[in-house]
Amino acid sequence: MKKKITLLASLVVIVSAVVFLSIASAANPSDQAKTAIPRPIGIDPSLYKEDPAPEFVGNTDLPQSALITKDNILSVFTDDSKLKSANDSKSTEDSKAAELTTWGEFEKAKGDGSHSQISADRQVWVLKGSFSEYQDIRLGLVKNAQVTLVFDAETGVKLYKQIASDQLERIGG
Amino acid sequence: MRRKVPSLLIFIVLLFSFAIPAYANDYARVANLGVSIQGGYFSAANTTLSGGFSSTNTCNFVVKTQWLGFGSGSTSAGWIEVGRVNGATENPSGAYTCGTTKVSNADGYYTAAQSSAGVYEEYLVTGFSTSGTHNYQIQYTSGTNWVAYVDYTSVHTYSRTETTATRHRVGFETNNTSATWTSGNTSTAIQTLGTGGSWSNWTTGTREDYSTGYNSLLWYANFGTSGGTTNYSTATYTR
Repeated sequence: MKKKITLLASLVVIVSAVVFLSIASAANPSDQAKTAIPRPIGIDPSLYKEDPAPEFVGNTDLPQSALITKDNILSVFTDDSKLKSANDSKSTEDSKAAELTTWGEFEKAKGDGSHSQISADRQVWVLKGSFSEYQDIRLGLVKNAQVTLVFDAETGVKLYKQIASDQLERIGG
Repeated sequence: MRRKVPSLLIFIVLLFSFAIPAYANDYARVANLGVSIQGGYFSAANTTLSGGFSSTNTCNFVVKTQWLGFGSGSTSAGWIEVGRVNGATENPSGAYTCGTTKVSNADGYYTAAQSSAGVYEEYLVTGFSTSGTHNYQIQYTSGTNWVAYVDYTSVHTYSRTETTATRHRVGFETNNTSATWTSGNTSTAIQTLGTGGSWSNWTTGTREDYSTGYNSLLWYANFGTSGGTTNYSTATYTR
């Protein structure tokens, strides 16, 4: 009798383990999605990293004294006479602003897309300027441009640029 | 007669203004247009670029990249691109200015998009060696997600309402005639992902380069050949 109970208990344990393992593997939708995504000819799907570790890790523990200064960020736009005030009663200085925030907060405010290489708690400077005419590296001369530049607050590396203009007539892709 | 001449002149001017493409920069690239696809891929070996940046040419750049375009040819429908870049970049410690912005020279990777009408966006991509063979991919994965990959690593997920793209282009873009490459003038394994869920090598395509009417670059894009026939999944660029 004792032997039968031991055998039965062992059977229950084995069956439970098998059931648990099959449920666990089926419950990982990201793995399922990964295998479902078709990959280019000749490329091993296991090479793909959908959620890589960020290159710019979180650094909210760094004091502001260890970061690039606000004056340094504001000096990226070298000629304030080119700035365009949205409100004539205000000075052109009002058309240039730099805010210290985190990448996560910036992305949240931006509202679309997500970058894999920057931690959400990485400190960044967001520099904005409005220009009647702006010389951009890629786009050339852009009229009536709203320019946003995001710099890594620790290293000064440019992470993001946005040029918005109702005059933008770029034909690229 | 007096009144006819100005009208004729105006007509000729208008005709030519429409005939000249409104490209801001110079391109040498190959293209598949008017397609319905969900991804693009190409591989590039040993690409070493010089964007032509110098103390007197502080806005110069060059990219070797690919574009996935959306919409039926309208520029406002936008595109996504991912590739290699060399040239000016905005920098708080930059010793030079492009226009009225501090810049320095940089070499690396990027991804960019025209996300909506009149909005251009550009993200830094870092952490990849600038030597050796590298692979670039843009792929619709689910929902509104279009993912840009470098070397099979997701670098950015764009959000777009479209689930198919209509243009795939691979090649170079620059804003000056000094830019060049010192190695790596080919794109290989050029593939697109069809809406049926299968990737395939290009089996057709067009060239978009100086010979087809672009500005003054004098760069040419050509498809490769294999066994005497055109190999559309390989492009070589010459100047």
